[in-house]
Amino acid sequence: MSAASATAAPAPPKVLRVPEHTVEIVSDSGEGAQKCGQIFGAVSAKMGNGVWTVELIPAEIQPPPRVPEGASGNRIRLGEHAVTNWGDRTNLVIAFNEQVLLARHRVDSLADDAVILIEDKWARSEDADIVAQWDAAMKELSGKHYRIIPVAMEDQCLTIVDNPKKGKNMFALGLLARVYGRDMERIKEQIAHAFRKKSEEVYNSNVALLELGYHWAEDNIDFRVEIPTHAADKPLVVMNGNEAIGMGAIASGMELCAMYPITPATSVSHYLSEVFEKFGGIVHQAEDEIAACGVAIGASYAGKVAFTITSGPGMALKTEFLGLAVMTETPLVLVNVQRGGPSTGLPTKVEQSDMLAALYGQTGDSPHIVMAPATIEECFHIMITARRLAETFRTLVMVLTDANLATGVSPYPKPTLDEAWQAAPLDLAPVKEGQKAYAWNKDTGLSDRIIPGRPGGMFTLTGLSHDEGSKVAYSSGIHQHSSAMRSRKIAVLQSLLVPPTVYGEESGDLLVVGWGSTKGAIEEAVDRARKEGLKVSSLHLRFLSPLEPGLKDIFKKFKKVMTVEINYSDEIGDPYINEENRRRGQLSILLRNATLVDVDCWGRVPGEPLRPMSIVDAIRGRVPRGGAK
Amino acid sequence: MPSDPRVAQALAALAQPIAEFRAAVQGALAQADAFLAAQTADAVTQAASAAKSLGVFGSHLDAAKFAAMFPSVAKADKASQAALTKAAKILRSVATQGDDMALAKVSDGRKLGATIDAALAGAGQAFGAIIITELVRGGRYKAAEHERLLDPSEFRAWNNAERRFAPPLVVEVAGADLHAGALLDFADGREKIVLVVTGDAPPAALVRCITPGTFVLQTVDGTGLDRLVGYEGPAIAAFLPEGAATFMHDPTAGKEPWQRLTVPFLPTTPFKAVGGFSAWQMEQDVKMLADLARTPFAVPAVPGAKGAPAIGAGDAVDRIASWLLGTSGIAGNG
Repeated sequence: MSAASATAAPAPPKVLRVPEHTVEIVSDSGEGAQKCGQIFGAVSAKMGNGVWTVELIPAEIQPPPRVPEGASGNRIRLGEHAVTNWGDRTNLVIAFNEQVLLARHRVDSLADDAVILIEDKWARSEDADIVAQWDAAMKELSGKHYRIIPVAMEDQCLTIVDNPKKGKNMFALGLLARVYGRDMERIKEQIAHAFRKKSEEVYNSNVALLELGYHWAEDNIDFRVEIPTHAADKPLVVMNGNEAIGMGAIASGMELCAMYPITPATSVSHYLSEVFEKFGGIVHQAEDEIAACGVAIGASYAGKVAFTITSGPGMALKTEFLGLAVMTETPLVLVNVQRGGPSTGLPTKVEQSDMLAALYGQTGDSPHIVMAPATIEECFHIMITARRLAETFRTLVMVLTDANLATGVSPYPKPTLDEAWQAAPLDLAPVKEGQKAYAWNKDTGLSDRIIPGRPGGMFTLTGLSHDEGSKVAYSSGIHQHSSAMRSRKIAVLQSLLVPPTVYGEESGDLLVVGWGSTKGAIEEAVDRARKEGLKVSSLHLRFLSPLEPGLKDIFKKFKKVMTVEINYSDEIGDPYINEENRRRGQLSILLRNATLVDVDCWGRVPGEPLRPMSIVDAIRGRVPRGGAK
Repeated sequence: MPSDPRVAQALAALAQPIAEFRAAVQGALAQADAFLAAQTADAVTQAASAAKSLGVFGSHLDAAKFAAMFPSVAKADKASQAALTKAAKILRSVATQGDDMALAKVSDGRKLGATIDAALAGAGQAFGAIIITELVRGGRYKAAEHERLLDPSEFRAWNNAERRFAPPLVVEVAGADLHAGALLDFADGREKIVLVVTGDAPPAALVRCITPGTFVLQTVDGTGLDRLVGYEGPAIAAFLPEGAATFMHDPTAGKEPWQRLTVPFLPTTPFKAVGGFSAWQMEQDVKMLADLARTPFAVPAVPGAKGAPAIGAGDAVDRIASWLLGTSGIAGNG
């Protein structure tokens, strides 16, 4: 570790030209580090850098100040080209105190040679305990080769504002703007947007702090970082996955979002509540999760296109109603933004642990469709397909995203909207004489949906087992037949899916299989492993029920198959764990069942996205040099 | 383009209901065209259409298989296709008319009622075409039963739903042809008719159209047209030359005629005969208007006020209060 004091006479800064760089801004909760990171990420994307941002969110809403557990902020990975994941370690950190910095250090988030710009007022505190904490932290950090640059952020901010806590983030943004050569005018536009509901005075003081930070860095920081930018050949949009879900819902012609607030899904409804009505939609905040699901089912039954959004605990509460949607064959889209579990688990942290609950969590036999977007862009587009499939197959479609996609921000090509994405007008004409509510095609299980109000279309809607005419029927023959019909639809959908594409060579020593938000990290890891000479490829699934076809044939071409997931799995070699009792990763369980292939798994639940280097390590463990046996 | 600026003023006031009707026609036309195109589409076109509807994420599905399993439209027989082709032609002709769709002129030798009937019959034909489109798309078209729907259909044959969705009409008519009785046949649903009257005209002819549920307006400058468009029932208005009575009968304003009727201006005798309208008849119209607007109590003149208040002007409560003050003998003392 080396400490460099700020000097008044700057030499020309050393310019570091790199293809990518990762930045973190960390503070106590409420000090605005997230807003700083969001603006920095958005401006970087608009300037033509690849960007992937991840919010660092404490588990508590208002944790105490100056504790490692309260670290809040943003991590932004910038690249010359598209960035698909948050990467491995951070190259530059701005920390508002040494405790939040320690939090990042302790989870091995910082590169060994990371540059740290840290508020140093704590070292000069009149409180001896704080000084002691500072000294202890510096000692702990000294084990690495960090370059620590003390910055008197609050002292600087006090030259402009009375309360530096409200604005220190803009000073930090100014530092980053100078170091990374960001366009100040674009930053000011973003600030204006971020504070559009505040007074001009607030905007002006934020801009003044931004410029103060910029000039301070100009005078005192002896390096700059240049990451080449490339103008996009298509117009891009920059947003997080939850906004993309909301926009996709609008583009798909959905008309109702019924929800109950739950982290990390709530921001979808925040976004929609601002814009949905302009497009004829309604956001309904129900009294609880169950009611939200009921409202969505009711609206959908009545002919509107409805969806409900939640996270794991909410999906558990909706279970009975989800079964009702399946039994009544009412189209419904449910979005589950996964977080850590079980129970309330890790509300603000990413996990992929709801897959089996989503697939099998309902009582009885409850076949339905489960899909998972792999990128923020796919969060937008999946909603169009989900609505279409829910209506076409008269069933429940679950969309599994996660906290990584929900809060991560990345640019993607601006979608060209198409009227064909929207639902066709309802046919409210009289139903054909003799038409039954569930006139199942005996081969496909498909039947025409009758919208209430159509003359001659009256029938009893029931969650009880029923026959084609929706008459309650307990006879074993009818239940057997109706169960087969509901199940058959899933097989029909599978017959329409195309086999997934292998990333890399179509045969080799190891095939890594993933789903959801891990795609970018897995493919980056596979690229690195292949550069090391390992014969590794990957496959990323978007459909979990039904599974995409041809998996067994694909798996056969590899010596080993392993899933990589953000859910827990036992490790062989741990006490008591053997092949027989090992609890495997959820996708691995699913694939073993479907293909009878001995699919291995590697899963972690660190409460953060997987890092490519961790996956590379796992790959190396499965495929030593010389190849798998 | 009509030369009378009042026609443009009336069309502008009726822009919303005209746009609503046109949107319905264009929507049905788009569906008819899409259905007809799909009838002859080859497998590649059908697959492309399915791929579009599934969106970008739908690339994980085989669009050709999807299109084969879920055809976007059902196969229609030749008679249905022929009927739909004819319906599309009718809809296209209405859709391309622009504002002319809502314009009519009473020509020499033709009567007001017959002119309106003829103009609305085109809209009635469009309603039939919309129904045919739905029938064919739903596979329920039966030539023997439904073919007649494509004939011109006069207002009296329209059903309730069609009358509520009726397109508005602006009719240019000479004062001598302003036979109000003919208008009553069209006072149903949400039909809106605005007459632009040229030349000498009977001063209060539309008083004969006043019924509790009909909005009736006589105006010389367009005042009140906005209220007419906002009314959720039938409405008849006339743009008359200066000197005619002006009044507004707004059914939402109260239960009694004098509550619903406001008469800012009432012409005085003598009147001059116009066409078949005698001076006596005109005098009776004006008298009827005054009678309908008269409050069941006297409205005292306020000392110092300039002129008498307009008949029916002001809030009913004000008028009762004014009457009470008048009868108590304390009006004007404060």
